[in-house]
Amino acid sequence: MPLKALRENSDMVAMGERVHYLSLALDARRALNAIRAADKGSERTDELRNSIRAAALSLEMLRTHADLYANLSPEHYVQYEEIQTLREVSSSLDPEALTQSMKSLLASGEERPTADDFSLARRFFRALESRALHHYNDPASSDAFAA
Amino acid sequence: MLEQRNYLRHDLTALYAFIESIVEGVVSQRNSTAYSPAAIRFLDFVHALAASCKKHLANWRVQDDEEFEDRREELGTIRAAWRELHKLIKPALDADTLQVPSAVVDGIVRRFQEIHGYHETEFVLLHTAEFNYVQIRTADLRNLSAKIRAIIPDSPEFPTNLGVIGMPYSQGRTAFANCLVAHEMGHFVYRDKTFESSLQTAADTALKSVFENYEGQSQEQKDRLIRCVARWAEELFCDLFGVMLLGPCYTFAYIEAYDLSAVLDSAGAISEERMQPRMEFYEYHPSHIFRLQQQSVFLRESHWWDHICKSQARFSTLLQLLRCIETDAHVAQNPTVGRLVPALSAIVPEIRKAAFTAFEEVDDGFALFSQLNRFVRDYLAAGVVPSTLNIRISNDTDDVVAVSAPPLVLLNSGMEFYLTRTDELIRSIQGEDQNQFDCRLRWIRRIEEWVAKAIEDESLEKEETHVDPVKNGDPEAPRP
Repeated sequence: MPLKALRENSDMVAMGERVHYLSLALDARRALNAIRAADKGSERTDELRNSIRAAALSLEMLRTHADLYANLSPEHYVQYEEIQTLREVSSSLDPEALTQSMKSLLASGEERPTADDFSLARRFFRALESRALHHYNDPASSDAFAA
Repeated sequence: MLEQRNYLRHDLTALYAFIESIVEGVVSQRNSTAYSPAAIRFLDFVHALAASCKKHLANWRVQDDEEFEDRREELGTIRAAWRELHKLIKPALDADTLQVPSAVVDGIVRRFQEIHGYHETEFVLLHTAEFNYVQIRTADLRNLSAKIRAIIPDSPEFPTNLGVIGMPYSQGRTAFANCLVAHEMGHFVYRDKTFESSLQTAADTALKSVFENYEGQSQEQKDRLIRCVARWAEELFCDLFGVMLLGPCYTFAYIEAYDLSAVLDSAGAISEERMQPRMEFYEYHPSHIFRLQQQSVFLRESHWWDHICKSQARFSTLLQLLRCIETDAHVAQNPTVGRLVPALSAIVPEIRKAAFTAFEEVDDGFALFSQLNRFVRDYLAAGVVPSTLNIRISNDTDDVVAVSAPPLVLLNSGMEFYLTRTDELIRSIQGEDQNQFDCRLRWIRRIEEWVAKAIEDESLEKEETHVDPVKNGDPEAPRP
């Protein structure tokens, strides 16, 4: 890593990245709420699919070592902070099983996801929200939104 | 022992109180102080968001332990969202119209509104305690408010066409220093137009070709390298945006703000001793010299350059000297991040392309400046506010047209006068001494006030020209 932490010394500040952690936490919260609703109900809704699609696609790309950050797309996570947090969280889970659960939740066929699929996905999004909030709450980075 | 669920009432109340404490000033102060329409839209958004969040919390329940596990962190996420807003609300409440330099910044906003797609964009101005001009990432605010709506369905959308800019509280009375807000407007457009994605990809491509063993780096390391180059690219974009928005007065304000003319020695050549520290890159910004060099190259290819060379000898010398610095010199001056500089240099054409895209079909204003500049300067030299320029168009003394100069012309002519003719103005006034600081300060303030007043008058004239006679009750107006 050639970059050391250089002291920011400019009068036109660019420190807005922390907000991306909050954005990720909100995404995870939306997904959790949608998964809970789907787990209780009988149908998987568009809301469920829309809320987990970016995470599912990003996980798949990380699993296959694709260049997530260099190839931005609205279909998956695009911010450095989002991708790093996703890496951290997914590394503590079984990537194959997690990807399979996500696929199962995204599928539009008749077959209903298993209780394990719901459980693993919920565990993943809970961890993602907590981890994102952990980074967000870092007292050393308090200048969100500014650029 | 009580289950954690039983403490929820306390935790919910604490969060409710947190939100209440943040917004309690909004309602009372908004109604008692004069705010710009843009600020009122922002404060209304905050107020509506608080109401929806409090209602959400009042109805927040969990049925069992499993739901508790799934939903407890939601309170932390909502709290985090309000921590973000917290930092904006007090500055917004403090920045009433008596405190912000509305005339000059309004003039710059009117120039901004000439850009395609931004005709109705307004900016809320906040005061920052530090000497920083900052663009609040309204694209992120808008994005966050949409995400909050997915959790709290009746929460408001972030107002459309609204930007937020922070400026140093101390700079309210200045005119020319505030040209730097153009850079912050560049950030607004950069995020809005999603130039970020194309430049991140360009950074990756450039790193592949110029960074030794780039492919051998881990994916995390590659991401960090891309992010660093992309951040620098955004700053360069915003500088070029500032130049395209306001012309050379942006660059002159930049030089003055960072005292960059200090790199010239007594003979007008580059002082290596003072230049080298200014060539060091920051984590978030290219070095000042690199940034000024790019502005110099950009201006040299513009209509403005010949005029700069004729009228601004000191600064044009500086800009010409910087133009010749090779990329290798920047690399050598940056032992830690120097290896990334060639990648940044490689994507400068993409950055320039993005700036030109943003200003597609927008007049650079130079032609009008060329016509009006000497009149504005003559008015200032005579101590007259250049609001309405009476220009004789033939030898007939009665053959005069009255012209109002737009903000772009007033700022550039005013800046030129300030930089080159302040001494002459002071010398022309009996009893004033150009060598006395208080005297100089007094007349510099006057020049800025005259320019600001002219910008304000031009704005009022435009308002009168565009007045809606039906809305304003003109009985003679034709009815639709």
